[in-house]
Amino acid sequence: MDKMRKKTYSFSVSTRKKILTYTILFIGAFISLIPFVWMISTSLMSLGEALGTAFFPSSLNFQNYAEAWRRAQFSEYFINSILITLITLSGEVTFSVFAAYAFARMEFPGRDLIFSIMLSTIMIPAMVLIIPNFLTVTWLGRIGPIPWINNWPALTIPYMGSIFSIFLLKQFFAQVPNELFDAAQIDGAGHLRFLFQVVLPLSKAPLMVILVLSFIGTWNSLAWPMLVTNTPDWRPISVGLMNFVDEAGQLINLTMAGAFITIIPILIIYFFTQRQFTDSIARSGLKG
Amino acid sequence: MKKISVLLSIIMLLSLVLAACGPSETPAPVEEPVVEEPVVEEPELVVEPEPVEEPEEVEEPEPVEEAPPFEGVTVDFWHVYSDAPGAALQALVDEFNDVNPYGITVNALDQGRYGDVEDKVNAGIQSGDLPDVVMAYTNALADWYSVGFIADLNPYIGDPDYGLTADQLADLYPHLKEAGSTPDGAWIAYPMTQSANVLVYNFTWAEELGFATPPTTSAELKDLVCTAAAENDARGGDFAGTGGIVYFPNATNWLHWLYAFGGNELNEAHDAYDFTSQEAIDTTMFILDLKNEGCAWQTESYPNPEQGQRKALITMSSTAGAPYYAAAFEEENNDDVWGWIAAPGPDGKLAVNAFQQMLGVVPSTPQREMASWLFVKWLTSPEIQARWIVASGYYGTQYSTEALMADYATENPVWASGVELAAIGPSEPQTFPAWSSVRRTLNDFAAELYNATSQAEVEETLARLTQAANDLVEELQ
Amino acid sequence: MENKNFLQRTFTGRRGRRLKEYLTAYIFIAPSSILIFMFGIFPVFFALYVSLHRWRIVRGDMIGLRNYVTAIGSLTYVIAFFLGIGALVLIYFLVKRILKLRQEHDDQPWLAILPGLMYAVTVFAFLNWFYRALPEVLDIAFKLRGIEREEIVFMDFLMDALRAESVLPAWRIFGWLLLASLVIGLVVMRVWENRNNLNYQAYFSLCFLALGIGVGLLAFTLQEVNTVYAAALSEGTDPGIWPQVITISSGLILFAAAWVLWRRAEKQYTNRGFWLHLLAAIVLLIGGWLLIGEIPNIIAAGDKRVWDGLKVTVFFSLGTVPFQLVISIFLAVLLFRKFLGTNIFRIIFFIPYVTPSIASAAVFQQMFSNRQTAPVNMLLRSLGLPPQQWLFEPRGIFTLIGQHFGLSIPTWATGPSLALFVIILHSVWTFVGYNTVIYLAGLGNIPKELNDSAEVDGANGWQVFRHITFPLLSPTTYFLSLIGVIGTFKAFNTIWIFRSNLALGTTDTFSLAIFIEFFEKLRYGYASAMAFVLFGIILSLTLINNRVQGAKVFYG
Repeated sequence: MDKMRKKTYSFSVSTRKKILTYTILFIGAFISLIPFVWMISTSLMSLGEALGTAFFPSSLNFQNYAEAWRRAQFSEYFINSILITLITLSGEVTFSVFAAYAFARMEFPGRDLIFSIMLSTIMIPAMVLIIPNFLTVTWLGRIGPIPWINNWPALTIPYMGSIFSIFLLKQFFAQVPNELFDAAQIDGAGHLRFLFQVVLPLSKAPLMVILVLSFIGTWNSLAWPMLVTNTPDWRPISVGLMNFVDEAGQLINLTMAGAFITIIPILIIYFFTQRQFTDSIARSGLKG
Repeated sequence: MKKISVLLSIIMLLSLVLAACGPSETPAPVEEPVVEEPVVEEPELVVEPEPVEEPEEVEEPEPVEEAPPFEGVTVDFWHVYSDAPGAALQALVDEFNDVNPYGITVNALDQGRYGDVEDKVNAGIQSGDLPDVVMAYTNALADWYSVGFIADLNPYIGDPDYGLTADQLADLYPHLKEAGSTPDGAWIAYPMTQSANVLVYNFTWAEELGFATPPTTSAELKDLVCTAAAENDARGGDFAGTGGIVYFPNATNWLHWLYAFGGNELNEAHDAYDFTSQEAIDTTMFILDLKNEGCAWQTESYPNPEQGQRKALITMSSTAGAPYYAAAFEEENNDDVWGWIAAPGPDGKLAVNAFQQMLGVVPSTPQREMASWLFVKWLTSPEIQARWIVASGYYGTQYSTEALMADYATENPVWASGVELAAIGPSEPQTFPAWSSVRRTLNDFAAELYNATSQAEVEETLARLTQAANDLVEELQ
Repeated sequence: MENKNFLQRTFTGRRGRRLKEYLTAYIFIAPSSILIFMFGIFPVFFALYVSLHRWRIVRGDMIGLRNYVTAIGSLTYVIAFFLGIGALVLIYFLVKRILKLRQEHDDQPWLAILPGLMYAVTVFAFLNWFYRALPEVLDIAFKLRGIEREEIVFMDFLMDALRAESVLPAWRIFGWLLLASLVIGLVVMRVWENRNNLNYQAYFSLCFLALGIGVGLLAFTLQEVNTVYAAALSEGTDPGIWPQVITISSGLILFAAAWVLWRRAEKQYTNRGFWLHLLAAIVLLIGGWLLIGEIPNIIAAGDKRVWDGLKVTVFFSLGTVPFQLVISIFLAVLLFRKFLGTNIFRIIFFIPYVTPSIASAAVFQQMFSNRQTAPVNMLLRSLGLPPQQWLFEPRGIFTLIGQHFGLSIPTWATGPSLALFVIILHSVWTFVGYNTVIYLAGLGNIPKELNDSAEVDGANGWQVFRHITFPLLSPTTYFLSLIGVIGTFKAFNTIWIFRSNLALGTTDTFSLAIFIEFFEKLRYGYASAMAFVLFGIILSLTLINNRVQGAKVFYG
């Protein structure tokens, strides 16, 4: 803020414009961040302070983080979350790439029909999915070689078919110039070679997008993992976080510390991919 | 080249099918319809009832007498405790696994909160994946009993070898058998511990205001909280508008007052819901009176800081909320003496809204059900219960536990102030049909009642509530 | 040897290559499609099945459309009839398409009718099997009760269930039909060598599918209506469904006619023609409106929460989507210029979107607490405004604002409740970053030369934005508004966290009402029926949006 004040002394039009822009951006950033500031400051409070109405902690209780980490058994759940996310993402990205390629660049009967039916699943209210999906994973686990409930398949496989990822990739794949495809065909390359040698190297960016968005979704999912796990063996970090919530009140300072711990990996991932992320959507050009 | 692409795709597909569907062909070898497995209790569901003379596994009419030895039986136990209480419970379970003479192994599994357990059991009922012992509130157990997924414990409790002796039964607080039994007499929920919705009372402040003992009638209570509110109004600033009782309108709190006013949820014949009684109207009008005179107000659902800051003389809370109140008083460096009291009615009747942390047994073989009961019985035996109370802060379910808690009571005066309250009750009609749904409807109606402006509107709202509740019952038929 | 020859023959030549391409494509989409079918489509059929039953925790009696009638009154029958007729109308369009295709290529596609019919029948046979097998399989949960739960037992029960008297024949019929239709399909493909052979087969099978669904739905609805009438007759009352069906249908037909006239009016060259068409359209519109006016009377018989929920949902949607679009388009334009720190701002604005909603909702609850000392109330007090109840406040925001200025606001203009307003704020706060990022992407797609040349022509910033940037962003706006509307209609998680009973239901959107029925009251049958109503609403909104807005989107 102080820096900006200094700039107001020069009064050219463009500078004034710039100041206005920065002011607006700073206000926006302030509004975006204030819940975070609140969250971090609460996470450093003692329980009494957190239950009360103070905005800033009187002393910094960093031990809240250690305690949250210990009490939510994060060291155990963290690994679970990473494994679940890795398995889900690898399956989802692989399957979506193939499907998106077929929908974008291949001709086959029923293509549009299948695609619109799949797309319409976006509109289904999520509540009705839970029980049938629970039944499906239970049955598949019973008739299959490995149990699904309380094991990685129930936590990962249902998320591997993602119409949103297919949709996003399809938009991008469709924009790869036809000339490239024709050239590849003349070289005798089949679909698979074209996909791996031409299309995918051009699509690092949208892959990054679905990677980040799916990462966020998988990392934060709570209700489904709770439903399909009975023991801590495969429970993810979000379930550990909810362990703080008690029936009679909330250990809100520890909850916030725990929540902040769970966000960190997402922030790291996002910081590293952010540039490509914004660029990629730009190039995939979401044309409706 | 092209073949490779096709081949690769096929491999991809196959790998998925393998992962997803597994060897769905394997069932083929099971050519003969197998009926050797004991198909119990549901003869009409047996698909091909080949009446081969059933082996001894078939359920006998009096299964308990035939209860087989328990060597190697594993009992799955779903509960809601994590963190320190969870560890304490696990220690008790480990002890049971070591010491029980039957060879039963209990597998205790933390399933999150009560809501999570309910979701999981509801889903498990659809698929058939259920534990053997499940911890839940009575109304949930009643729901599951009504669809055949919770067992009646009467045969096990009454079993001459493994059940409770007459002394042990008499030791249990008298209202608990009723609280865990359905109207048709099945004992479906066995209490592990108790808690109660109580009034949190600031003894020191009340004395300063000239009220030496806690109020014994609702009129006295009104007098007290209005005095406190007046004092805070006089202080002004952030204290203006505070001071009285924090009443958050929900089912638990409204029913708490209804009990104090001598009312209940059912009609006189006890066969339908009826919220239109004079007591219900009086209760609501009393609360509205407090509100309109500025003696009652609401904060968020946990008014701990207000109590600690002397912005509220009385709040309403579960006894399980004690640690949070302690933290709030500590935070404000407030040395006031505080504790639990019961809500007083107009004629001096005292009531709390008592809850029990119930254990239910899921139907399975007589052997497993008995093994489950033996674990439940051990877990609720006085010595074990006393140790569990120290770890969890709940209240006991039997007189002999109280005797074991003397030391703990002197160390924890707040806890001690609740011992008698948890025993006076009453409890909600948890086993009455559809109570779980009715109670949720009541939550919304409690807010509506709190916003009513006239007695006529209150009466009309209560009539609608009664109608809605009985509609929910009717839907079950 | 034979086999190899056959394979070679099948996959060589132009036709063979095409077949191979089809096969490769199907294999490519197979994993995703199977998963989406298992975890996205199967649940829909399951929920449809559930919605036709009384189902509280466990399956009860089959009660037909009664759950739907509970939700939306006898509008159910009207919609069911329309869906049935719609399916039949679809046949008309399909046939038209077939004829067009035939004309273009001068084909004689009639041979493809046979496999088309066979495919459709096979699909129905599968559904028949599904419908019969599902209850048997669901009953396994009951049979498992009371015995040691081991895998082998389950397999036996599963086999038993699938071999049950009512199930096995259906499975056999389906199997034979599948085999037969595949054989017939292949034979027709070999016999009649045509490029569009498979397309014809697909179109014809769609025709027969639509026919089956249309006739089936109409017959089912008719039967339901007759049951209701029979029941009413014995009680001596008149359910009055037929008059309602007729009035609403004619109202809708008038609407459709008005729409057609409206479209024609745009094409009229003379002024008089234009105004005449417009006038006629408006007259029809009013007529249709009057007839549709019947709907409120009908829905009064339905569930009040459904209609209140819809109203709240509309508020939520209208309060959230335009708001966040405007903010994010503004931010995107600002951030699009390259200057110091834009990257940092891009990251900051995106942070709310990556936060778990449990955490951000907890923070919002603290900030918008009704406590006098809560941050937002402190802010209000420092501005000299009265502190508010926020999430506990059922009164509308316009009422509150009016009250502050001493105005009384009529009941129809109260606006969303203050409690809902907080939820809207949270929603906007969460999604602005996401929308900004996508708008930035859209901006990146606009050729730079366009903006530059406009600026050379002397247009100021606003003019450039108004006449060039904004129209060119319309595909993005369209995409985001669609995603936003669908999202607000489906949202329930955070609303549930924010919900207080003191808001007196003013925050209960339709999907929240479904959530309550589902997880709180365990009325699975009724909740599924409500979910289908919601699904229908979202679907038709999307389709209407596609028709109306899609036509106006400018694809640069």
